[in-house]
Amino acid sequence: MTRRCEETIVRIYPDDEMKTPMHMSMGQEAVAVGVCRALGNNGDVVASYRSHATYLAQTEDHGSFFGELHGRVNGTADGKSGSMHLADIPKGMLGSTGIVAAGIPVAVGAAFANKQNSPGRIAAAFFGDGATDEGVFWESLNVSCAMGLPMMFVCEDNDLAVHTRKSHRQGFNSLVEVVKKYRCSVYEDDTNDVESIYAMTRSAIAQIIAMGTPAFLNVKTYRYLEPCGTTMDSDAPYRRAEEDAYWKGRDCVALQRARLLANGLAEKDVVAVENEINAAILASVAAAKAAAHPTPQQLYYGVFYEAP
Amino acid sequence: MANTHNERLKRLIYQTLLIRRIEERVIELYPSDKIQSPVHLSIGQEPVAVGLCEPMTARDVLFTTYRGHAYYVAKGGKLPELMAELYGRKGGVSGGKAGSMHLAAPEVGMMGSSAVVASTIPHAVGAALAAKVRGDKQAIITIFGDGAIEEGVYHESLNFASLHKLPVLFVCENNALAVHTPLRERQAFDIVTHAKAYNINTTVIEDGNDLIKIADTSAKLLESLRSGGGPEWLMIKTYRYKEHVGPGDDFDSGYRSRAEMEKWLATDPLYRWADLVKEMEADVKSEIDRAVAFAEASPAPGLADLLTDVE
Amino acid sequence: MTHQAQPTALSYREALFKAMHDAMALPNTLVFGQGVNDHKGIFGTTTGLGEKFGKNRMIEVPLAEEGVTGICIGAALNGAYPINIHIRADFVLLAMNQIINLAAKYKYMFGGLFDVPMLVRLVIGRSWGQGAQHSQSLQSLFAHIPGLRVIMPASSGAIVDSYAHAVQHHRGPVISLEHRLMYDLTFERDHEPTVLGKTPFSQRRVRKGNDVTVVSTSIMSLEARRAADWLADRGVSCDVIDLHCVSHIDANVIMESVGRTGRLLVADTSWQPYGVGAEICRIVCERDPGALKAPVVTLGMAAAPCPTAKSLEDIYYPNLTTLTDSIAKLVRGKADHGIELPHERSMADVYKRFKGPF
Repeated sequence: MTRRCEETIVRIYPDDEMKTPMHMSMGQEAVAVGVCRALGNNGDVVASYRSHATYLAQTEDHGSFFGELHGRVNGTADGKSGSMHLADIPKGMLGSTGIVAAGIPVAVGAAFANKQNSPGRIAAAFFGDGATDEGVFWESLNVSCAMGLPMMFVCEDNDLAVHTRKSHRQGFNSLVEVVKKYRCSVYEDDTNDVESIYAMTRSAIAQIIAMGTPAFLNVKTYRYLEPCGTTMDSDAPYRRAEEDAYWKGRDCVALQRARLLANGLAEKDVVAVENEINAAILASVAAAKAAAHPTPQQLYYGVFYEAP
Repeated sequence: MANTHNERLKRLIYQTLLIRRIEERVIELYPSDKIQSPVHLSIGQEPVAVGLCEPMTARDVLFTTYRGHAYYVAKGGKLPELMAELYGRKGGVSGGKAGSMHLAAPEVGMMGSSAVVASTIPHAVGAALAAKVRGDKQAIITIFGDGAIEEGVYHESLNFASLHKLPVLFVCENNALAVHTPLRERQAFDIVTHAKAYNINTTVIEDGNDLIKIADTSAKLLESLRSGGGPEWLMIKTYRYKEHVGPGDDFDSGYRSRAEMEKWLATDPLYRWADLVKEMEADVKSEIDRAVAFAEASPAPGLADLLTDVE
Repeated sequence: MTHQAQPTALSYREALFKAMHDAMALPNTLVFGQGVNDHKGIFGTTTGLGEKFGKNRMIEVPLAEEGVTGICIGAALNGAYPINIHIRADFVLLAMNQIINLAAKYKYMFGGLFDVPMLVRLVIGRSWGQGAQHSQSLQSLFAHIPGLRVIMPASSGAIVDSYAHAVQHHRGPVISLEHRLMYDLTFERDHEPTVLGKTPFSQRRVRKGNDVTVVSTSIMSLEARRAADWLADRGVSCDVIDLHCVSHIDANVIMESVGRTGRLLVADTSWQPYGVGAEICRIVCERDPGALKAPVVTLGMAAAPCPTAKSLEDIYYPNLTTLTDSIAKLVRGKADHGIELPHERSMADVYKRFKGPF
């Protein structure tokens, strides 16, 4: 569903109806879907600005999604937020931010609150490996380990901060080796397989609850499209052909589709599900286009706290 | 005691004693309100500064923290200007605008100290980058407490220095207290293996009272920096005798015990070499007296100075 | 200053590239930024300079704003001239400790023992749903702090001259706010505003007039020029001053103009409270409030974080129409001023070309 939503964006972005900078998740969907499904209804998540997959996996609500991208009143924030700030608090989607790593301590705060108020509920921060360059990531990791918070760090490791590879950004050999120095458990996955990521997350959740310490998930994945925008940039100088081919050969949607067929599902049943998803997305896009633009009065709503 | 050993040791002891007595003079003067500046005293930690600075030249650049009196003196900063600065007088090293927390003496490579924890660590990394780009055989040293390690900017600095193999020596003065909170409640990792994970060589000195060992280690590490060996990380365990800020003791406040201090006093070089100290007291006293007299005589800055050097 | 070898017109982007190129030609310059050496090269303003001058001086940095800003300060203290680029001004907020507590104070705090010569380039985003965290115009925040020099170049000439001055002569930290929507605009040398002072950091006169003083910043100086051109054909003569350096305002320039016109409008790219408009009012009120024949008018962004919906973004910013209307009202002293307004809501012909995403 996430993939189809973004494919729809790629198709209709040039129409200029969605005036918002798109940071696309395509290629990386298995991470969000695997983790969010494992958390079920018992997790709070904070995403980075590459938030589409996390939002869709956590809420399964592409109606509000397309509304927001179109800047309409049926969006997640009445059209005020756009692609980089998707949120749905009741569904445990605590938001996403345009500032690298800024959401990580927010998730730690949610974990702190959960420890006090909602035992068993876990907060997860999604971020790219670029965010681990930021000091605030290390501050968040240290604080949540020192306090023993029910916190899950999910690093979507695509090796790229915009266009810059880790080797030009990191003085250490392996992020995971540094993180292992902290009082937390560390998990790694490089399969790009949603079921493997799901299973790993389930063990991490069990560990967090049993030990009362955070978990760090390093999930290797690959971003198909340019860092910001909807174009495939396979020819850009920072890309490597063999890497591109390797990851596209392990496409998470293709993997799961093949598994469904191997498990005995008939091709026509899979196609039926796909058609159902496509039709639902088209309906969401149509609904977004039909929805009203926010009124001028809405410009000032929500700036300050207003007593109910 | 061999004589050769003596000359060097004497120099180191003299410096240690000088710093101790200066700070004790500060404590003595404090009730008179002549020094109106929050003082973060080094008492107990002086041997670390003295040992580290011994092999440094004036070209080697040092950045430190708000607990900076000891480094100012050890690096070669002038005493009268130090005392006048604490007094807030025109004759102070910064004309009375810096006070205790921002001591500097660029002519001897003492590049300043900041009141914001960890904030000068990246400055050292930047200075090391400039030196490397220039092809300069300068060594850059940054001093910080173990509290600074919790700040994100420490990680950012470590990462950048390692990535670019910069000539910077990270020195953690580990007194195991960030203000008053013990390490265990603040840090979820072992700081030495953590630094090592950044591909940085690490060295630990357990006894921060061992002047010779600190000085020899410093010499070895600085040599490695100058020969292009990349960053080095050094932790020296030490002990702060006085309260975090201010002139008093705080063993009754419950967060630490006097017995802990007794342990450190046992190896304190100023007690261990009491006979040497005795011989030096008169010289040290007169040096400090001269500095205090200079400060007392120096005029206070006024309106004409208020807006100079803003930009 | 000689201009013989320079082309007659430069785009803002080309001017930035030239400024970066000329700075890198000096051996002690270091440029720091995320993406300086990638194929996009900070919107084309650093492209190829790493190859030409060495990637040891054109430095690709980790995402560590506070650390990198501190590294710049340390490099400046040790003889280098660092330039730090943030592709959105919003990102510099992670480095405020280093900029405000350290860079701005290093000289004064140590009684003049040190200089911290450095340039921080910040890009203000606007349009295409940049939203709350990719659109902020933070000049007032910085200009409030003693020790910082804050400029907002509004033309290619302002870029070239000011950056050369910063790199070669100025010994303190300079914060420059560039406007993303100006990158593709071309400025002709013969139409550059007149510099009203001794250094390139001085205020500039965009257009001389006698009916109303319009003080503007950044892209609002372009809107002000267009409004003034429109109004000139309709009998209103505007004295347009591009503030350029918002931290150091020559009160004489403002008072001379207000003294002639008796009317003042301030058009800024940011929020009004505690902003540029408020500061200009302070200058006038402290010196000669009697010079004003009418209450001051200020324009700026709506007092809310920036929304992304196009319909809200359109009314969030002041535009050519609102600016022209405000000037006409001020000069005629009434809402039904009878002066025809331009049809475009803003510099639509220019802004429309910006199709994002970034």
